[in-house]
Amino acid sequence: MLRDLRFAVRSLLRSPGFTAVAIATLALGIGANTTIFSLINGVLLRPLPYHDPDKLVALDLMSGRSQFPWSYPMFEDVRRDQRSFESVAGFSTWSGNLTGVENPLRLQVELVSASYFPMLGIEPALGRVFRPEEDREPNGHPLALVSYRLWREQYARDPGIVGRTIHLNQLPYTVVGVMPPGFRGQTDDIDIWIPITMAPSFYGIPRRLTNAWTFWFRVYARLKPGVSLPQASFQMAPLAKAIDVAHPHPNEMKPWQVRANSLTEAKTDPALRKSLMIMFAAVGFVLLIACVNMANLLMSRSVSRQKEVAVRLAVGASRGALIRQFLTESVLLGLAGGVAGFFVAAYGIDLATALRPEASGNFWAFYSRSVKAESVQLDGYVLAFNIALSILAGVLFGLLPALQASKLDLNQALKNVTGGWSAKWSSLRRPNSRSVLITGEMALALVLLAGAGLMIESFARLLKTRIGATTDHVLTASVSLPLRQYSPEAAVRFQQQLLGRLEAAPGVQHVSVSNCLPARGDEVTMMRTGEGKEWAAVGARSVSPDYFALFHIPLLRGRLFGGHDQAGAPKALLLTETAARHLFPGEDPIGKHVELQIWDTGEQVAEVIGIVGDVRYDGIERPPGDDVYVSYWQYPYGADVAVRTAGDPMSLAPYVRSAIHALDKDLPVYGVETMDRKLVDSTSRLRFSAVLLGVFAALALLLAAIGLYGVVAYSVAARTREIGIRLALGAKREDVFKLVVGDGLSLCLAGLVIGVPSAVAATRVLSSFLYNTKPGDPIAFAAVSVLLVLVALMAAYIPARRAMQVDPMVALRWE
Amino acid sequence: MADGAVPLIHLEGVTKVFVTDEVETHALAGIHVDINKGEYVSISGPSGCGKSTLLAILGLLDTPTDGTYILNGKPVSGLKMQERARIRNREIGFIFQAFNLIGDLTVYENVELPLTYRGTPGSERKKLVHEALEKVGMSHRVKHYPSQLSGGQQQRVAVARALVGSPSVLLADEPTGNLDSANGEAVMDLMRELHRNGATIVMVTHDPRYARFADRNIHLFDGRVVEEKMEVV
Ligand SMILES: Nc1ncnc2c1ncn2[C@@H]1O[C@H](COP(=O)(O)OP(=O)(O)OP(=O)(O)O)[C@@H](O)[C@H]1O
Ligand SMILES: [Mg+2]
Repeated sequence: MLRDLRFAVRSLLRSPGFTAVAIATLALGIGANTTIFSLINGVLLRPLPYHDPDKLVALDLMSGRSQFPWSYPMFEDVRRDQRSFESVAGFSTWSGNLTGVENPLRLQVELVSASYFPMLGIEPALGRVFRPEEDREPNGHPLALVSYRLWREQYARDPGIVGRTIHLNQLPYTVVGVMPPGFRGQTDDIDIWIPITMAPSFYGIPRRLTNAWTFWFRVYARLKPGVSLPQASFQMAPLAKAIDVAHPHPNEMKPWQVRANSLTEAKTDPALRKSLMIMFAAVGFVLLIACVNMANLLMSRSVSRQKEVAVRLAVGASRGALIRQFLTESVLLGLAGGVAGFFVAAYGIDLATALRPEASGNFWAFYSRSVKAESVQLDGYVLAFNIALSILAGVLFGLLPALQASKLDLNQALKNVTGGWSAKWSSLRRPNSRSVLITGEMALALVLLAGAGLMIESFARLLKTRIGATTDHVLTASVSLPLRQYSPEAAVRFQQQLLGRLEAAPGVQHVSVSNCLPARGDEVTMMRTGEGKEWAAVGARSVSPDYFALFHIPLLRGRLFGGHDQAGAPKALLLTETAARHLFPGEDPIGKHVELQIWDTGEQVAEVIGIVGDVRYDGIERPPGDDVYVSYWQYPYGADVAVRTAGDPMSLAPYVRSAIHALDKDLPVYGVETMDRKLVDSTSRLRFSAVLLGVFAALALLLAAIGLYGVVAYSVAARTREIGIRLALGAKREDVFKLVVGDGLSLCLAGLVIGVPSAVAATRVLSSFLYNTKPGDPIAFAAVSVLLVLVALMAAYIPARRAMQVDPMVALRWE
Repeated sequence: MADGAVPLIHLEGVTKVFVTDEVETHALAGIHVDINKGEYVSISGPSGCGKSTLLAILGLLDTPTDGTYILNGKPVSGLKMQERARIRNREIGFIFQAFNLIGDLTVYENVELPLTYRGTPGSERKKLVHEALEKVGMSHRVKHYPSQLSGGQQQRVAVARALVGSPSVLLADEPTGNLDSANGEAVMDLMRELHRNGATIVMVTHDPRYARFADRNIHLFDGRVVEEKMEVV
């Protein structure tokens, strides 16, 4: 064995060109696999960073098929009556302004039950967490925990932070501890934790804890030892019934259900999981192609090593010994490729994490298990995978050549008769292992190309999608007014002053403030079109009058908001085209009155004053929904300021900051970027899949081209004599050129014949990722087929040129 | 003979110099040869004297370094590749020592090859291929691959391939070199038969027995013609 190894090293070093090509090929194939495995390892396999995470569940409150956040009274009922869980904890996330530091900061705050930290098994780095008695009394314990990051960056790791008072939305909180490094709450961006019972003062909404119909937080629980998830789910039914009884719903509503889901599942984005699995299959294809190339390379090499093999056999080596010798060499190559692949993976991971698809975290699903540089790393598991895959690849591509080479006909090889053993490999006309392998390689490449083509087409269509608003030359910034400090009247006053200042800036054409931006609106409210009608969920967009002009949203009927649609005046409402069609089928909605339950303000009546064009608020890829607009001067909620300028919008950023700080120096300004930049973020998920699949398809294409080139070039070399004869018989140079290119092309076409139907079948798994593109899209398929043929032509071109240079004199020579 | 005055092949002062690694090999040093239509010429001489080189130049596989080559009244030494391929295809039939059949093609396809490059229509190709195979007595083996034939049979197929396009001249480089004497005998009989029916043949051979079949023998030594003698038939 050791001798085999020593010989293998020597033999590889003797042909450095071959070894370099082999290692490069394998590095690409194994590197791509290592990259995707490290993503899977970091996103899907790594356990949640909590104590005994398998026992953790998310409790979801459902009515029919709609999921609701919890209301505090319902949560208290369940917490009191349940028997399946060791502990139950609620939490909610909101942003808050931290003042009293050098620059006021906009931070994410998590409001949590006291049981939250012990349940997750999180110990503070400093101080203590909240005590059970500290989350009982509304507004009773203004305490805070800070993140390690905040402690390091704002308080210079001062241990004296414990006991100090900080100001959050102008309210004092006493810091009792510092969280360990890396722990950033459920949304991975939290810097401050406060007891959930501080909600009324924090939000400025007194009835937050007592109103059973205010839904605002989520609930996790830890299973008791010996209780399984299905058992716990089963025991939720009576609790849900008890909620129905305790809090009879004023309107028609489906009965409550409480669903227990594994927390690990709940935190995994199913779309990301699927796309990673597809990528895994894709890189598997890439590696297969690399292995086919390797097998072909080794077969060409073993032809030139016939003499060596013959001599070994002649001196009595057994076939097994020969196979072992060959496999040692190929596994050694595999491992060398694996080492190089590890470095390729380091680059691959950089690319993947740079493309990080924006975690699609919304209130319902905090997909914390996302592609993040912190979790996607080359760790021990990845290394083990890399080594195992390298060995597997080495055996895979080495086996066939080893079997072939050891089957050598001794008599013929020693006689060295032309047209014997080696000629069998040279021909591409009649099927042999080489041409079958290359055909398979072409087919695999086509499948990958088709997949990538469809994703790229989808991405292109997504980028071209009209979202119903014009977004160039728009700067956006967010400024959130603490409710406690800014009454609705004060908020309106502030924003009107701010808009006034911004309008005065040079080059500014329109300014607006709103709770939404195109492709970014998630506020939902219940609305009905009259007494006794059904309540429907609609997107609630609160905008100042100039919003429509700013984003070029057309008015279709009626009128837009004016300065007079203010507090005190009758409530005015605009419908989008889609909302008008759905909510008032066959009717003219203008002048009709609707009822709204909006922003804890209770039921309100508003009059429909107009209809405007649709805008995609739920991301670019979703069709427009039922959206209604209310006047920001009547509902001053939301913090998104938009400015349309004649010139470069970013040049206005300092002006916007200073305008805000001139009005209130304690308000943090955040999210200052162009509207177009924000839209790029919302295409990031499709971009992630499209770019990675594109890279893998390009790799596959490159490797397939190299493979085809290798096989055609080898066949030209082995058929030099035949080509000479043909020339001697009067073949023109073009005839020879066509002969060689035709050989290459026929392999490619055979690959297409197998590849196209396979790709049609395989790309069906992509359908849920595609945007306005069908899995069997003929344009994409035609494009990638043409691409494959062109590349095959290019790969065959070089050897064909060489074939044209063959000297017909070889026909006369007799070696 | 009506065109007796104009020889089919006229070589004048043909030289060939190979330059490899600064070493100049004068393979041919001023060859003057005329070959008439219908003649059977044998070329002999010791190994390395330039026989194959001469045959390659005659067959337009190679160009002379210097000198004139007139084939069928047309100077051909300065022609372009394209034109040389055309002439090779129409005027020349090659028979090689190593048979040089293409292993991937059947007997039929091998014989058909020169016609394919000429662009002869399919039905006519079929007729000509069968006639040629008939002449060499191989018409019963059309579907076989070369590897399924004996050496003598392979060479007969190669002869059929050489004459299928009715070339002006058949060039053979030691056609019996790879054959045992019985098979060699048979191939030589075939050549004689073709000659009797009017073919022009130029054949390189070491074997004095076969050289005697020719009308004329050209003896080369060190790239020069040292002896030309007519055989008495
Ligand atoms: N391509 C070439 N490059 C360099 N030298 C060459 C080349 N072809 C032939 N020669 C040399 O030219 C001379 C004549 O070669 P040629 O093949 O014509 O000899 P030959 O008479 O056919 O010999 P044989 O009877 O052995 O076949 C030899 O010295 C040979 O080494
Ligand atoms: Mg010779």
